[in-house]
Parts: sequence; structure tokens; C-alpha cells
Amino acid sequence: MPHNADPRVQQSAMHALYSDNHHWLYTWIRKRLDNHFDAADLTQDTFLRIHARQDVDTITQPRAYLMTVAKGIVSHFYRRKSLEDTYLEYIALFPDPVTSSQEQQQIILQTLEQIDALLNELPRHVKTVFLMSQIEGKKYQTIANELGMSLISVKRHMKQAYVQCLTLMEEDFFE
Amino acid sequence: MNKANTLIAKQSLEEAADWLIRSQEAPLTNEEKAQFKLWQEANSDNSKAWLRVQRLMGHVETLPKGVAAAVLNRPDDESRRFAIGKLALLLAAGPTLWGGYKAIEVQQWTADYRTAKGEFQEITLPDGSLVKLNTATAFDMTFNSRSRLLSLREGEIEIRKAQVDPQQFGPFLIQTQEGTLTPLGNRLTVRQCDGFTQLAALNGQVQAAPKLAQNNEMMTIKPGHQAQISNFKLLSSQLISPTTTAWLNQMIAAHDMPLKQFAEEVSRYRKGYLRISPDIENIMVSGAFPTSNTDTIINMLTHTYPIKAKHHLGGYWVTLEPA
Repeated sequence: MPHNADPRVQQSAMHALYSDNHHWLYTWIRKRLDNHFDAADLTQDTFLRIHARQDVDTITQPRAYLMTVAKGIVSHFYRRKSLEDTYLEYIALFPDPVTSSQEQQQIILQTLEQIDALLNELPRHVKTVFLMSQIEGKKYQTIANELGMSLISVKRHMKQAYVQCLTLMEEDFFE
Repeated sequence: MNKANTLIAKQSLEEAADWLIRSQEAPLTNEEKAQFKLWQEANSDNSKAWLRVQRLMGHVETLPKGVAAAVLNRPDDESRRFAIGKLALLLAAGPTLWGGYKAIEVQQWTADYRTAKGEFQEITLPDGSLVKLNTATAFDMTFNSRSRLLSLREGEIEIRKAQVDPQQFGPFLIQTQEGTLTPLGNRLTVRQCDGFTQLAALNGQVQAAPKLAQNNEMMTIKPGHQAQISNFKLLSSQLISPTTTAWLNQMIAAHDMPLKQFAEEVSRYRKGYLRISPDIENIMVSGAFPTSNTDTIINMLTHTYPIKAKHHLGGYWVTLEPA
């Protein structure tokens, strides 16, 4: 079906999608979460995401489509939640040295989320090398010794990690 | 935002990564610097790619390292949920399973260790690190894949860090009342004193983050140095003195130490009260004394210096007086 730019067409298609599937999608997401408030939020997020694309009228398999979008949103939710949990756990253990102000904490959390997203798709060992170098401040040779890999491999992993970050960073990333 | 505007040629990004890696390995030589400048100016994608590098590194560098390591290194969400499940099982099963941690690969260990006055102990932690506990010492341990944390409550410890798989164990951290220490080497001593922390970097440097330091500043204690740290700052730092590490051989070492201070040292190991008459508190004491028996120390003092010991309450209360 061709895409129709008429806002009224989008509006009525969206309305139909929402009323036909809202309850079904909520139930689907609810089964994947521990808490129904989050499930309601993520259900809304899924519809908002689809609404923003302005191509509802072209959807032929609504439930498959909703499920694909919702899966991404649920997995992002879990990722963010585990990041925040780890962060809060850490600053509870080491309250003072890390952060002083609430505002500072928000900035750090946001930067962490962004860097986490950049590193997300990397293989585990590549990510480990990157973090040892950039977060632990270790020299490439030290990393090679500690992980029992060659210097060349360490540098290859570093390059893979950097290229990944640089490729995914758009101009407004970190803003 | 129009994505086409921000697209940078893949080749430029790869070359930018190469330059970044080269500059991180060693400072660029003048020749390399010139090459780098040529590369940057060769086309606009190269210069844009380098700006992106700087933006990335700028953000990476602003992150507090401890929390960044913990958060970015956290187990994958799936394995994390799995690990929590396993831990709950282990806890439910009770302490009989304690020794089985390796088989079950549970991801977190906690334990408390303690010595009484006069006791000396050596223990092995789950990662293979060795800890010596001096007299009247207590610390808690929390080990998981994000960090290996020892919280020193009181007393004095020596740590010999084991070489471990960094994927399994996070960085080693020691928390005292004054702040957090990160040993970069593998051997150090830490003592919780009244109002300050004393540490000795026996091997490799130690980074110290006093909990109320301005701008969360980190201090570096050089290998071979000992330092005193308050809530706010590094109080002092000097070469390690033999008196600081004598306890590792279960000795007190004194070199022209006023008797008053010496008696305080002895009291750390002694059940009971040791009082010094003010007339003799400035006598200078030198020598090495065994901590395993403080009565022997008192005998040695009375034989070497013009001092006599008066025992009360069955030896619980001892007063040192001029002979």
C-alpha cells in the first residue's frame, strides 16, 4: 500500500491500530515486565514511536509490526534499567568520591547511557579491551599481557571499538 | 536532523581511529605530527572525523572511572538476571553451600573477617588474593564482577592482590572511613587510624579518593611511599618506614620513638591497660619487639631503660614508672 501523507488518513489509521491492538499489546508487554505501570508506559511508547513515523497506513501485519517495535522498546527499557540499577548500587556503595550534586549525577548517568549504547553491539572481548584502555587507563601492552592476547589483537579491538563509536555518533550525539 | 549532512566517509573514520590509537600508544614524533596535520587537512571528512574523535574522548574522559567501569562492565542483562536468580538460590540454601562457590559460579561473595586484640591472621579471598590481618582488625568483603571491595572497619591489613581474569572480577577497591583506595600494584598495607587512613604502597602506585576532596580529586601515592589521608586530602607522604611494615613479621619496630607513643603501639596488641608515668613518657625507645607477647616487651623495656613496671589486677593494669 502506498504511503499517504494526508494527516487525516494517518490519524484514522492510527486510531484503528490503537483501538484494535492496545489491550493485546499491553498484555504482551506486561508478560515481559514485572510491573504494570512500566508496561502501560511502554505500550504508550510503542504507539508513539509508530505514530511518529507517519506510515501507519502502510502497515499490513499490525500485530507483527507492533511486536517488533515493542521488542526493541522492552529491551531498551531493560538495558536502561540495569544501567541505572548498577549506577545507583555503585553510588550507594561509594557515595562521596563519585558525585556531589544531583545535576552532576544526571549528566554522568546520561553520558554513561550514551557510551553504553555506542558499545552495546560490540563483542564482549572487544568491549573489555576498550574499557580496560579507556576507563581503567591501562596501556595496550598491559592489556595484552593481562588478557593473554597479542598487542596487534588489542589494537585491532581498539580500532573496532573506536570505529563503531565514531560511526554511530551523529552530530547531535552527546548533546 | 538531516542524516546525509552528518555522514562521514567510513575511510576517514577508520583513519581517525588509527591516528587516535597511534597517539595513545606513544606521543607522536614531530614527523608524525606533520603527517597527522596533512591527513587532517587532506579533506573535510578527515577533519570532521577528528572532531568526532575529540567529542567522543571528551565525554569518555569526563566520566568518573570507578562508576563508569562498574556500569559499562555490568554483566549483560540476561546473565545479570540469571546471576541474581542463582544468588537467591544460594542464599536460600544457607551457609552449607558456602564452600561450593566455584562450582556454582555465583557472581557475588560477601564475608566479614575479624581478629581480636593480639591476634594475627592470614586469609585467602575468593579471587586468590591474600590478606594479613593485624591485631584488632575488621573488614567486610563484597566481591562481584564489577568490583572487589574491602571495607576496612578498624585495624590494619596487608593485601597481596592475585592476578585474575578481569571479566570475572572487577577492580580492587579498599574503602576506609576517609575514602576509597585503588591499588594499581599488587601489594599494599592499609591502617584505619583515629581520624585518618595510613597506607603504604609496597608495590605499584595507589590512587586515593578522600570522600570530601574538592572536585573529587584523586591523589596518587607513588610506589615505595606511605601516606596519611584525611576526609579531605593527602596529609603527608614519605618513603615507607620500617616501623610501618614491621607488623607483617609480627614485630613492633621503633627508632627513637617516645615511650608514650611506643606504649600506644604496644596497647594495640595488649588486652588490658598500660599506663605511662608522665616523668618517663619522653624516653626514646629503639629496637624490634615481638607483638605476640606484650609481657615480653614490658620485660625488655624494664631491662633496657630506667623503668620499672607495677602490675595490678592480675596484670590487667600495668603502670610504667621511673625506676
